[in-house]
Amino acid sequence: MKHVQCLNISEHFNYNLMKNFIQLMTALFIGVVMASCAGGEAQNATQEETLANNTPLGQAGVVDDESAKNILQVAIGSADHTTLVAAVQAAQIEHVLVNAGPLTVFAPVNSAFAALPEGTVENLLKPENKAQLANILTRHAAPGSYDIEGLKGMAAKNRKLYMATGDYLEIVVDGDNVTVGGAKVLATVPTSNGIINVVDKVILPAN
Amino acid sequence: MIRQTTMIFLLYLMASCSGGGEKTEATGGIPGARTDLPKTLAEVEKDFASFKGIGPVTSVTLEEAISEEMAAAGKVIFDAKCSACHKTDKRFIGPEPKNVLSRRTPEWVMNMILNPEEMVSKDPIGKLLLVEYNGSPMANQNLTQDEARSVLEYFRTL
Amino acid sequence: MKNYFRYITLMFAVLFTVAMSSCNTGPKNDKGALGGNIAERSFVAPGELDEFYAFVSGGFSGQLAIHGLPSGRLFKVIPVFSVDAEKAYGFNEETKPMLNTSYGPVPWDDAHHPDLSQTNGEVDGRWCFINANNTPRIARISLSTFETEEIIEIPNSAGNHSSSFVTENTEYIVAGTRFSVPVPQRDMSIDEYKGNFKGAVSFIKVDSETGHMNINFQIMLPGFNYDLAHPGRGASHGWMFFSTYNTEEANTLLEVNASQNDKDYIAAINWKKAEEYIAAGKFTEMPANYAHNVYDESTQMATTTMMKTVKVLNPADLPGLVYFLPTPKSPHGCDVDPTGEYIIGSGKLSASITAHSFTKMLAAIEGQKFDGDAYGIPILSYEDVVAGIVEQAGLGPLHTEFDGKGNAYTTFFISSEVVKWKVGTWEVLDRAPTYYSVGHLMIPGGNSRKPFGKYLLAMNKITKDRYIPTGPELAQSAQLYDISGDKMELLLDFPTVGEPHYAAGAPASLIIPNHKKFYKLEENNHPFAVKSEKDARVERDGKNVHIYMTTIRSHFAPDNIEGVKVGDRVYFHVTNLEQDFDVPHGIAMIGANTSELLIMPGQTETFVWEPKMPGVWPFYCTDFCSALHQEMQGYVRVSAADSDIQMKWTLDGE
Repeated sequence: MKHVQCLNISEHFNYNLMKNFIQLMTALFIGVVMASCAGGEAQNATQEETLANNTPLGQAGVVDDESAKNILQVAIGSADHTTLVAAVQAAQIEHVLVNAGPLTVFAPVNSAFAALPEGTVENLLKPENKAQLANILTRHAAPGSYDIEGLKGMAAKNRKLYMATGDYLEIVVDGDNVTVGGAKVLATVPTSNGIINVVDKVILPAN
Repeated sequence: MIRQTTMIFLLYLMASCSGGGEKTEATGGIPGARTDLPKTLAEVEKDFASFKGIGPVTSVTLEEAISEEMAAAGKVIFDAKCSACHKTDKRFIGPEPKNVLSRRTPEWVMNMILNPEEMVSKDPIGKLLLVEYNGSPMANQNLTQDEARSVLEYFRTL
Repeated sequence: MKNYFRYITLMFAVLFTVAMSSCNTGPKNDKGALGGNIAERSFVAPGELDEFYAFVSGGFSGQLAIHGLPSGRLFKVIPVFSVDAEKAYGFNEETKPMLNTSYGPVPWDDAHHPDLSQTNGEVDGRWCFINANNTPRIARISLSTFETEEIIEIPNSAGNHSSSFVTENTEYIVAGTRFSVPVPQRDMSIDEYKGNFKGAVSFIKVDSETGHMNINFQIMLPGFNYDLAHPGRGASHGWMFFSTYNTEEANTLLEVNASQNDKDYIAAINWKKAEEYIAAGKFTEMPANYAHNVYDESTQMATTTMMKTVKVLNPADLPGLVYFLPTPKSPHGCDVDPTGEYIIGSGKLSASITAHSFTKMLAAIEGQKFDGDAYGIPILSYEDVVAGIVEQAGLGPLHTEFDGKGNAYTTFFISSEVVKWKVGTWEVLDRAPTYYSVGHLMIPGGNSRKPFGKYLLAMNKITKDRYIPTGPELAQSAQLYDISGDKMELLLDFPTVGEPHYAAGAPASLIIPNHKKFYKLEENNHPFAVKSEKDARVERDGKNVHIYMTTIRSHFAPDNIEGVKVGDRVYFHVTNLEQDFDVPHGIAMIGANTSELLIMPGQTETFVWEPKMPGVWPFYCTDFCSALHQEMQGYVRVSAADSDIQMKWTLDGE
């Protein structure tokens, strides 16, 4: 490592006159040190490359076919949620859905996205709108595990549902129907790290 | 100019590496190289006077009269720190100190007490003793030089 | 110009420092870490996996540590012979029986030599075995769950040191007594040791399907100390070799009195012959009392069976069963090369290593060339069996392993070095210092026909100045050498758990495919398991209260319990309902006189709490399981013994 420090020092010398000499000296210096160390430190470059290549993919990259499926894996496996999955990927928030949780996700079906004003989804999928998209998606997630029975219990106790964005959504129970923030729960799917409640609408912010 | 600088470089390098080179030779050698070991303990004991041992003690003057005070202090130390492995008058885990000055120099005895690790690995007599005593290493009991001197004085009374 | 000179001076200074540190091979500086390419060779980049597993004995910790090679990273400490409060091993009701012995429950032991199961002489990645030295036992550890599954006690033994070594098809694990003792134990004068004490070696049969162990037979040998062992392989398959010391049969100050004979023995035991004698009924069925503890993965509980007899063979009456091979100066290590031809004895008080030839041994037996006998066991003549000697290779040879390329590597304790030598020519090829006082060494697959001769792990007893100090007690260490070239190169120092008495290693690719990710709930047959939160409940049975509890991110069910009384014995049977890799939950109760539980997904574990005072007492999850881990908690209301508060349990008021 010491010769690297030395190279950094050399960068601070701006004398053109001495430049060639310095380069020669540096080369000689490295050569000598390498020879004296039997093998030298030429691996520095490769080592950094290796590190870069091995930057962990994050938990979303963990291959595990045995464990019960997590929220992301279940969503990816659902034909009704291709738009949602594409949006999650565009917003690059996959890691949130594979985390230890627990998390409850309200997952709008494809037709819910299709029902939005024309161009809305395309617009949100643009790279420059990533933050906005992430915010909208996060509004569909609540910390904790709330299946449809859990939601009914919450409503019975007059509790609102606290979402990951910080808003509170109202839970309305009407007979067997449960709506959260205006979206109707069509099904409840337990996953390894929480619950997916399939909903018929995208839950958009009030503004 | 460049040539000069290169020369200086090489000198630096040689100076800094020479110690290493020697060392490598010593540890990297092949077994035949261990001919430096003297043949037997009896052989080296014949002219023990030339062996002062390796350690902090280079010269010890023994007064003709034994200091009773020093010997008494030495006995206390010996009983506490040495007697687990040395009986005064017969071979035990290690050799007996009785008549040790007819086999070793006073400097050697004190160095063995004060610097046993180096003594059993480098001193010609120390190395042979380690083998003779089945690899039982002499333990370093962390005596001061004065304490070792007292123990030596006690040995003179045995 | 001024700056130019300053630059030159600076560069010289830096160069000097670098050259000094990289070249000076003083006693401390082995040009390890600063030799750049050396650092790279033990560097496993973040996210990358190690190439080998190393199962390193925890010695006096009683446990088995799993490190990766070449990184040296510590991944797990598997509790085996000592209780482990972290994992509730020996504390929870399920694993308490694992530590039962004929002396009652023993919470600690001194673990020694791990060895791996083999098929056709090659490491097969199924089980790891390890011995307890103090209260003689052998444990089997699953390399799927990485848990201790079975422990068998060894009767008629004391100081189970020459153990646990595995034969070529895992037919047997052996155990040999380090102390000879009266057999059966009885009150007698210690002075009458000689001729009266016996040294038992045991052959423990391993079921090829389940791995279950049972002692098939013991051979009652003379009252020597049996130190280490290794199995024959290839042509010598069917034989087991044990080193002995104290053939003087001294019973005091062995330091001196067991070092008198110029030669002790390696005992060569023909275990296939032993099987014939057993089949022919030439054994004595001796009364015994020893514990056999088995953990059942299905019920997730351990049970103890006390075994009452053992078959004993007397070699003096059974020709062809045992021969003694004279070997200089208290041989310690007894190692067999990958071909099975050479049996290496390292006389620990000698400077040389002795290699016996299996072929010569058979010829000498065939020719009846005996040099007397010891208690009726034929002694072969040294000259007739010795194949070669590695002369004056160092001081205090202990253990030898092989690289599969015709080279052997022996540790020297006194001279603190590993010496590489050539099998067959007995010439020393290389030597490398260790820091310091090396004991065992390990090459992955070293006790097999097929070693993986890329790395060598040396295990050191003394570390002195190698690490930042930690008071009088210092970590012991392992040192990794690259042995792929002609010269050994030190790559890495790393600290170990307890004392690293030997290790076993295997390629990661062999073990990873079989490893278990979690326990399937549908296969959980624990009698107190609850497989659905709706079945969670509390039942009173006299003074015993059984809480059938579940955990899932991030709550316990139930989490409010009332109706418990002072004087009750409260069993928390907690099932982790998770079915996801790497999501354990823990639980601990305030004031409980036991450890936490750490429950793997799909598993049920039980702890017992005896509340002492009325009050409302909390419990919580001890393993940071999820974002709402800190919310994962509950209360138990404890009322006076004569209270009439009814049993009640709820979660969220329901």
